[in-house]
Parts: sequence; structure tokens; C-alpha cells
Amino acid sequence: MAKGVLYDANKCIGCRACQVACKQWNELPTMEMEKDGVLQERPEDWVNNGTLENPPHLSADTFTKLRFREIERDGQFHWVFAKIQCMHCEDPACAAACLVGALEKTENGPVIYDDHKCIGCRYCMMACPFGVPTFMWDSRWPWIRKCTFCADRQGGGLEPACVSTCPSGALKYGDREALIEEARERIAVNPEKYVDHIYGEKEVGGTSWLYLSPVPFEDLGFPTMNSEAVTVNPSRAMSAVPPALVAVAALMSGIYWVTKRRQKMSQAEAGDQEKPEGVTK
Amino acid sequence: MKDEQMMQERRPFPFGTLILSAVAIVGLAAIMYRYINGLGAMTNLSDGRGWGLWISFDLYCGVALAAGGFTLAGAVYIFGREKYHAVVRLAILTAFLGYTLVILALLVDLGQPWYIWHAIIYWNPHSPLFEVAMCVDLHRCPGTGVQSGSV
Repeated sequence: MAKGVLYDANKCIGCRACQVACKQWNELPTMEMEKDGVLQERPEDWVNNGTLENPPHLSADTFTKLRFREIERDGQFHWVFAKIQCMHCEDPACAAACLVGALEKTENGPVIYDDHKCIGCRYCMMACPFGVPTFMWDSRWPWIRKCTFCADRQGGGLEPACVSTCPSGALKYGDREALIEEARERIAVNPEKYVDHIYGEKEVGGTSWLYLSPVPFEDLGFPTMNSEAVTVNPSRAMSAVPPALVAVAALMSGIYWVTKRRQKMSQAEAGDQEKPEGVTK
Repeated sequence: MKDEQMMQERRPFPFGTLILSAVAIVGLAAIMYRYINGLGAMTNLSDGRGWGLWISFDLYCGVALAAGGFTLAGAVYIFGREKYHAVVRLAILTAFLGYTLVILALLVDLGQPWYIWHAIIYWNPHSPLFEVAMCVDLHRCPGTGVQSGSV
């Protein structure tokens, strides 16, 4: 049964323990905003959107982060948080795009990455509708890095590191279908606390990670996606390639045959008129 | 006699070669810098912009150059435009060099260029880029033929 995680923005307290747990389990270093007292060259590496958000974006050293949004509701100021990481799509665009098949959706839910196949072309980064895969830009031996859904821990019967550390119950790990049921129930019990939308239930054909929020998901910076998997159109185009190839090859062979025949005919005609002696061509 | 004539002939100073050599030396230095410090330091690409100038140059120069060559070869061999036959071998050679340029550029632009051959052994036919890799491989075949003198 495919696993999933339900994130409830109403329960999240913004402590970022999930970030720390992720770094610890995956042995990732902190992101340096300054080196020797000087801010990093790229503004996107130190500008934090004017909030307590930290680090500013996902990177090869940050598989998950908490997004902070300041939102005004009923004339009052509210923090709303959203945990960002790989969504582990049901039909992952990254896996469809990867030319060597280094990314793969497992039955259990995680989209896993095989660094024994990857050639570092970064097409998965282009393909991902959520902009999740990151690259080790400063490495001499660079790989793609992203949240693994702790596939290793799940294989050993453990919850993902972020879920097991969450102190407020904002993250819940379980069977995806059961989590969707539970999310529906939470909305039904407290309709005034939630928008009637489970993000990830239908988006891009469904994702393993599911979200509940008190505000519309656009306000949390989630892209608006329709329910068709982003892999549907490309695969339609790709499956048209072999027939197109055969058709073009047949057409070109036909033209080649006609051209050769025409050449032969005109040569024969010329031969009849002139009757050249001993010309072999 | 003939040697003397050649000795006396004054060849123009090879400014073009000189300029291209200078460009090549700067380019080699940039490539060394990229291999030592990583792609980010050299290209200023980031997770938001994963592809940049190198891959554009690769496609617009290498592939476009090759496309011209193969179109000409098609015009001669398939459509029977014999009056272009004189340049067809040159065109295919140029196309071959174009696709070789693609691969050379990829050796700099890929994160793991030493694994570029994985594209041949690990297949994912769902990927548009897989098709590109196949095209690059197959398009270099006629060029190899030209080099071996069989076309």
C-alpha cells in the first residue's frame, strides 16, 4: 500500500524541528549565508523574504524547509506555515524526463534517485512542476539531491525523520488513502478552520504528500495545478515518434526510388539518341 | 628549385589562427576552472536556472550546423540534386564536426561527464532527452563513414 504524509498547517507551530531532523538523518551541512563575515554572492542565498524563514530555499544541502507566510485574516495578523519538500508525485515528471532512468517511483510511495545511473544533465530540474530537485553546484562530483521520503527508514519500518520528530502532530505518516479520508474528516469537523481542498489529492495526478491549510494554497505559494499528470502530454508526443520515424523513412525511401528511376530513364533516353561507344556509367 | 620558390613565398601572418588560439586558451582555462571548482562557480547557474548558455550554444551551434549538412546530403542522395554533389562530403564532415561539438560541449556542461556513456546503456524511452541522445549517437555514424572514406 502506498504511503503518504499529511501536513496540517493548522497544527504546525513553525518550530522547524523537521528541518533539523532531516539534516541530521541525511547528514547534511547547514547552509552558509556568509563566509568570513561576507554575505554569499547570490542574493537568493541570503534573502529570507523578510521573515523568520531560514534557510531561504531548498538546496542540495536542504531537502526540506518551512515556508513562512504572513497573512491577514479578519483584520488580524497570522503566521501560516507550509513544509516544503519533494511531493513524491504518483506520476513523477522527473522520472519520466530522466534519460537514463535514474529517478523512479517506488510502489511504496517514495520517488528514489540512483546516483549510479545519473549523468548530471539536470533535466529532472527542468521537468519538476514544483521545482524540487537541486544540484550540487559547488561540487567537483555533483549529483542531484532531493527529499528521499526517507525510503531507507521506511524500508526498516520507521517513519520519515521529519514526521517522527514533529512535536505538534502537524505531520502524519500512513497509508495515503487513509490519510485522504482523515483529511476529509478534519475538514468536515472544522469547516471554518480549513479551506475545502486537500492539496496533493488530485494535483498533477496526485502526490504522496498531502496538505491541509486554513488559507487558499495560492497564498501559501503553492502552484495551481490541474488534476492531469504532467507526464500525460509528453508521453503522448513521445509515443508518436516511432510511427513518425517509420513514416518519414518510408516516404524518403519512396522519393529515393523515384529519383533513381527517373535518372535511369533519362540516361537510357540519352543513350538511345547518342549511342556512345564503351561508356560504362 | 621548387623548394627555393616555396622558401621565398611570403605567407601572410596567421592573425586568424592567432585569435582563435587565444580564444581556445581562455576557453581551456575556463574549462579547467569548471572541473576544479564545480559548475556553479563557472556558470552562475542555480537550482532555479539549471540550464544556461552552454547548452544553448551546444544546440544552436552544434546541432544547427549538423542539420544543414544532413539536409544537403538528403537533397543530393534522396532528392537527386546532383549539382550539389561536389560539396556533399564536405557537408557531411561539417555535420559530423557539429555533432562532435555537441558531445564536447556536453563533456563540460554535464555534471558527471565521465558517465556520458550511461545514455547508451541505460534507456528510458519515455524521456525526450533519450531521443536526443539517440539522435546524437546515430547522426555521428555517417560522419564516421565519411572519415573512413566509405561515403
